Amino acid sequence: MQAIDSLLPYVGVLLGVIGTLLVAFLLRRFLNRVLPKYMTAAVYKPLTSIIFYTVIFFGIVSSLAPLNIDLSGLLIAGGTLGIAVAFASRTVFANFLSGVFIYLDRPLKPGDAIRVEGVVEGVVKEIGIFSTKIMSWDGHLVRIPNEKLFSSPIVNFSAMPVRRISIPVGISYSSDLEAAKEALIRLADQHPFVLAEPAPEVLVQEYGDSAVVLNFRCWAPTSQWWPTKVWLLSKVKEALEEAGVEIPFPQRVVWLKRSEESG
Amino acid sequence: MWILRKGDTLEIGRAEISLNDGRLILKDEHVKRSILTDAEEVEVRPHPPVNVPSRVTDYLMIRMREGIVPADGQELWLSAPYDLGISLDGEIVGFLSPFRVKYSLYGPTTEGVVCRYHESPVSRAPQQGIDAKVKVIFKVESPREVDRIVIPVNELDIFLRNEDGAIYYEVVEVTVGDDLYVELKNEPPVEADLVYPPVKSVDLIQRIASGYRMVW
Repeated sequence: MQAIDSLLPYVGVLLGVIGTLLVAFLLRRFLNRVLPKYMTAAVYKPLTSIIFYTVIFFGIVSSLAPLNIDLSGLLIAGGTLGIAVAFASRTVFANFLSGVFIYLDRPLKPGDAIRVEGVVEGVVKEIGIFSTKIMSWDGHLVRIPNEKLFSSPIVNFSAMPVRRISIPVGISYSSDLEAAKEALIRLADQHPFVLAEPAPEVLVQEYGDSAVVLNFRCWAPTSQWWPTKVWLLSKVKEALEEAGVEIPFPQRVVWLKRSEESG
Repeated sequence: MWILRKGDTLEIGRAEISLNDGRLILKDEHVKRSILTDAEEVEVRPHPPVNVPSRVTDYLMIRMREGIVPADGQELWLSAPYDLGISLDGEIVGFLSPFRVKYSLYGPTTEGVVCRYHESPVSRAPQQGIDAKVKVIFKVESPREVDRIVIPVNELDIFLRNEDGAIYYEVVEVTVGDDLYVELKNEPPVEADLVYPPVKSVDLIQRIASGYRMVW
């Protein structure tokens, strides 16, 4: 009977350890099923591992309670070690936390065209747990630590269904303003992805030194913004020329004053 | 559905398809493709008008040339575009549009929906021409002006009338209230010898109706 009593704490520990492992494995399986819907493998795999081993550590430590082992020393040592590690890996931790916040805040997702002010402009390739990879328009792969990304202003060009195209066009002062406006609106109408609504518009932007500067504005689906803009830019000159509208060179009018003796 | 055999050329509106000398040539205002093939025939079928020049939406906006205030139960006919899907051995190899292609935005620029755009006259009977014919039935809860409808075309059924090759959309029901609710009814619009491509009896169409709530 005594022998059984002395074995009971060990049975308790064994059951505790088995229970902990069971819970940890079930939790890992659950996370591996749920998290992929919300984040990429680069994020959810390390996150799942961290949660898995944390549950095992605390579960096993708690399971040792029936043996009356004094764990305070271990916990203090663990705590001190934790603080030391935290200080040493402050940047890593900050990047990790920023990565989590980026996932919660969702200012960008893979495939988005973005500009990180003062850093890079391009397409998001991968959001990792510590850093984000962006392919710049020039084809460079730029890795930005999540902490820096999270604290930088981000312009997301892909967040809205449509984007505006704005093209400044200078026409000569002697050209017919209405003819220029009509030519540009007709041009916009020719392209399928220049949206019918909101309607394209042409506004006088500025009376410049050498030209009346018009602002030709229209909207395109976000995914078609660039090819549509390129097409319009290549056709504007031709459309204005066909309408008899001149795009002037910079010019300056010089008045010569003659003295009476020379005249 | 149209079948093109070697030596045939099919022209519908701005689209042209020809199968000559081992080449399938597809041509419209936006597409020009030549495909080498030994196929004896190609199939051409009408598809929802969202594939040309490339797919950016699943919605079609029909803007009525004049706004209407419909009565409850009123039936009207609109015109609509469609794309032509060209298949080789059951595989679609390209889409062409017999119509002028234009897209538009329905709603605000922050959260609106990009739609294929089409302007249509409003009439009490289907109009002549190559456009698809759309029968719209209005269910009016509170009267208001309607000047456009947005149709989700992802699940749209398009019928071909055997007699004359006229193309019809399935019946569209528009509930007019505070918002407009546009619903595809899975019903053929006329009693005639219709073919639903791919060839399938009209009676067998048992799909869940799809709809779109127009809130802006």
